[in-house]
Amino acid sequence: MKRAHWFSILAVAAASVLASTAAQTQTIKEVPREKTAIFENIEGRVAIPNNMNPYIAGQYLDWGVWQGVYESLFIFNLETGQLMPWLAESGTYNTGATEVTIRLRDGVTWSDGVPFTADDVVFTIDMLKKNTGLQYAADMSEWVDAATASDPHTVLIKLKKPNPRFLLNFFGVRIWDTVLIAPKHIWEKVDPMTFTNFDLEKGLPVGTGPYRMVRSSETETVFDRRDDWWGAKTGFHPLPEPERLIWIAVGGEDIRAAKLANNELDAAWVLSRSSFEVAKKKNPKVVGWYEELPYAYLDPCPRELFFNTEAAPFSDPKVRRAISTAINREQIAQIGYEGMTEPAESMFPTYAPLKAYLDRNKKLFEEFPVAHHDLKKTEELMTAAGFKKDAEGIWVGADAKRVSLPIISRSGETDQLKFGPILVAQLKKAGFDASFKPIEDVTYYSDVSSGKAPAHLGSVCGSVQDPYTTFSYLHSRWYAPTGQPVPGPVATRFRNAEFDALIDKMGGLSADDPSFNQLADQALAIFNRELPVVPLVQARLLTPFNETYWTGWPSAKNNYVHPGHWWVSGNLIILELKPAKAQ
Amino acid sequence: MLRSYVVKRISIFFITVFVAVTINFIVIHITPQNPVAVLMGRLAARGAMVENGAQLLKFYTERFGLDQPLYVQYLMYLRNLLLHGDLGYSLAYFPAKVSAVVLPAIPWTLGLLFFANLVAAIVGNILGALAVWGRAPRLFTWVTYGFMSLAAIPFYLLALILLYLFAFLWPVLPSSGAFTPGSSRAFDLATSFEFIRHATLPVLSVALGLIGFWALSMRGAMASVMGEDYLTYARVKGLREPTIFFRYGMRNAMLPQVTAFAIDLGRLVSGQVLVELIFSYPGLGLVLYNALRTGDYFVIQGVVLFIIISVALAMLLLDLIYPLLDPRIRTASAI
Repeated sequence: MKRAHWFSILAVAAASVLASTAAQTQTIKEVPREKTAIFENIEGRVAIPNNMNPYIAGQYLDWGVWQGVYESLFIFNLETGQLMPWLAESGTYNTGATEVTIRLRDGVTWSDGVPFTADDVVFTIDMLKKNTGLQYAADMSEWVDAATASDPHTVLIKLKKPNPRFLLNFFGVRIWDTVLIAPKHIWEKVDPMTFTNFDLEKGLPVGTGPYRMVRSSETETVFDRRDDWWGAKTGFHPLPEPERLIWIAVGGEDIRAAKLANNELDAAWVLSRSSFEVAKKKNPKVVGWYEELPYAYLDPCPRELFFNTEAAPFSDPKVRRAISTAINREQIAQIGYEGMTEPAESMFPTYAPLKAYLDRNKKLFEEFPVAHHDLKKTEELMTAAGFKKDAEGIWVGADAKRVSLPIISRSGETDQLKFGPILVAQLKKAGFDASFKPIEDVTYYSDVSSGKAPAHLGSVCGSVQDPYTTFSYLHSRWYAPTGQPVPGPVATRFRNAEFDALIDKMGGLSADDPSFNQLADQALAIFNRELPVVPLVQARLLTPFNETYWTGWPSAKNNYVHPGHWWVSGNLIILELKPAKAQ
Repeated sequence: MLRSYVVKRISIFFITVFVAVTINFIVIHITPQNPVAVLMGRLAARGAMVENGAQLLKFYTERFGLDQPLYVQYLMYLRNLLLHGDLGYSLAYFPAKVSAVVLPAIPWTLGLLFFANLVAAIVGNILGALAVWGRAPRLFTWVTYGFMSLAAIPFYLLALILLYLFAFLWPVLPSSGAFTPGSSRAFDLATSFEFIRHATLPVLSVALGLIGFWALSMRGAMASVMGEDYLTYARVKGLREPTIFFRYGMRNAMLPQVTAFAIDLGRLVSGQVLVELIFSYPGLGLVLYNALRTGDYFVIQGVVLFIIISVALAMLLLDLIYPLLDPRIRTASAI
């Protein structure tokens, strides 16, 4: 075949590839870099760029849809410990917390101009209750008896049982996400299970936030500011400064650090201390929560060692407590976290109200020293449990079998990958035949849920204000026999009738109730004695910001909100940004 | 006779694909993981309240037919695939269809593969041929040795090295993505230039690792052609050196290279996955990585099916083209 024909074939092939890739991208106007804020998509990639349905189970729209397009009724601020009303003006409970009245803010409108009313809230709750496959469907069915709109700005929700945390847990962005309200005038015409909620020409997704989506691809989502945002029109809050927001897929930590250094990113996902210091050295405008060590922010999900409490010998609380006292948490914090965190003696993040709870129970920790490194105590407990050491110093049971402790963790948790081997070394020194294996999500979650893994590293994202939520994860209603998947958030298979009774009572009381503290203290006593979960370290996340183009990022000195820019409450950060060059 | 050759090759293609698809299905489904439990775990890990999680578990298990015996799931899969071209729903991103997840990624993977191989093939073959061409400077031999060393380095390692050099130390090229964030993406020259800039490091990561392979095999093929009478005849005829080199030398030495490319295609696609991951290139690499992490059986099947069909189809096309390229095969088939 002639050369010219080969070249023309190649040219057509190349043009076809270019055309098909260009066809997938959406053409938008150019906006200068100094008017654009670029965030990292912490998911790494938008799996389905043409589906923005926030109710699909497991769909996390934290690549800008949550932060720019939607807004929550309430926002829990980890820094102030307050549940801030946002789209709502107030939320009140009746005595007994069996009814919730939400008063909506005047003047809120959807991005298509339709007013946001109580009918939207009622519709959303009813839609979730009717469609069992949707996220939060089971929660609304579990708790809500009926939701009604007494007027366009008032919603009355009758609960099936007392729940003083209903607004916090489901409408308050307690951790990461929340139940987002759907525009009734759009969603009542569609099947919520299959509706994609995406059509840029028609303005979908429709939300109340100050931004609208203009581009969505696997590696990039782009949002342009809506100058008709209700917040600015009503005087609630000025328009945000960035005219454009972009979320991009970044890849690994190396690329993250490179992009920060090169001013290609303004807000990033987690960096290790060494990567942060390298990036900061190249670009001094890269900042953390603290200006000095530990740099990082206290995350609400402390790291723990979990057991399948049905799997011998970890079914014996003495063995679990022995393992706990064998661990040197200070060493894990120094080596595994490069000095950026501190030991944890409970499952709770040490935010002010929870710290006060733990401080009040100091005597409990003296009686059951959960986080105290004491190899003699380990020996004492293991001997009392009927174990002795073999010739190589490894604990063996009455059946002469070694106490094997295989620990797994999810391979995506970089901090756990670092401290896992340290933990194993400590446990081996204490006489346990320990091993550590990081594995991929699918195997990890399967093995944890089924109980195949007798021990695993993980975290609990529960309480932020009072101990109820985290403790409720250990209630035996989540129990399933080993071999069957646990339907709840914590797969310890822990069962204690006394503990259950305390949790059941706590669930119906707010933390302000005088009897709540007593119940919580009793629950902590049982937890420390039984120790189904061994607390390890507080989680500190170093999520850096770049002040080259934008300032106003949250920090320890400017702590108007916590730095989780991937949360639904990330809108609070965007609203505070100011152009760096204007200052 | 040529017709029977074609029919035989096409039949082998279909049998190969069928067997590979069946093995693909069985291997993925016999793993003990529960992908619906993975979904629950991911929800819980992010602080979601998972009340009545059993309800969600049951809903999705039944919805995806995971409660059916394996042979029933297999037959349903084959029926949907053959009769409707339906690859099913994504487990991790329901109700997205597998085709909606996989198809948009294909042009990016094909594009990267195409350009990387084009660059590697052109540079590698010319270098390898020049390495044994008597009249070419000795420099080409040393350059070939250099590329052969690079061929020993895995693609992902080359990617990291190039990233460090050209995106961090001397930031002249973009570190990730297919386009600059927020750019207009109009179908114009500026967009094409941007596309080329962003593709440079991913393409080079694969191409640099391939050039040595092409050069080495071309060197061997060229050496076997060097002593042929037709080259002597071409010189006697007074043809120019470049004409002799390209039209008489390289052209005859290229035939084994075509076969080698087809055989190596599967390795290339799998090796490219990590490169796409490192550079956040929106190709099948990222799709497959996420699907493996989340236990998304149906997407994994879809990606592997694409790879199986691509490789088998490439080998079929090459088998069919070969008689056209080499008249000797055409003659042998006719005898």
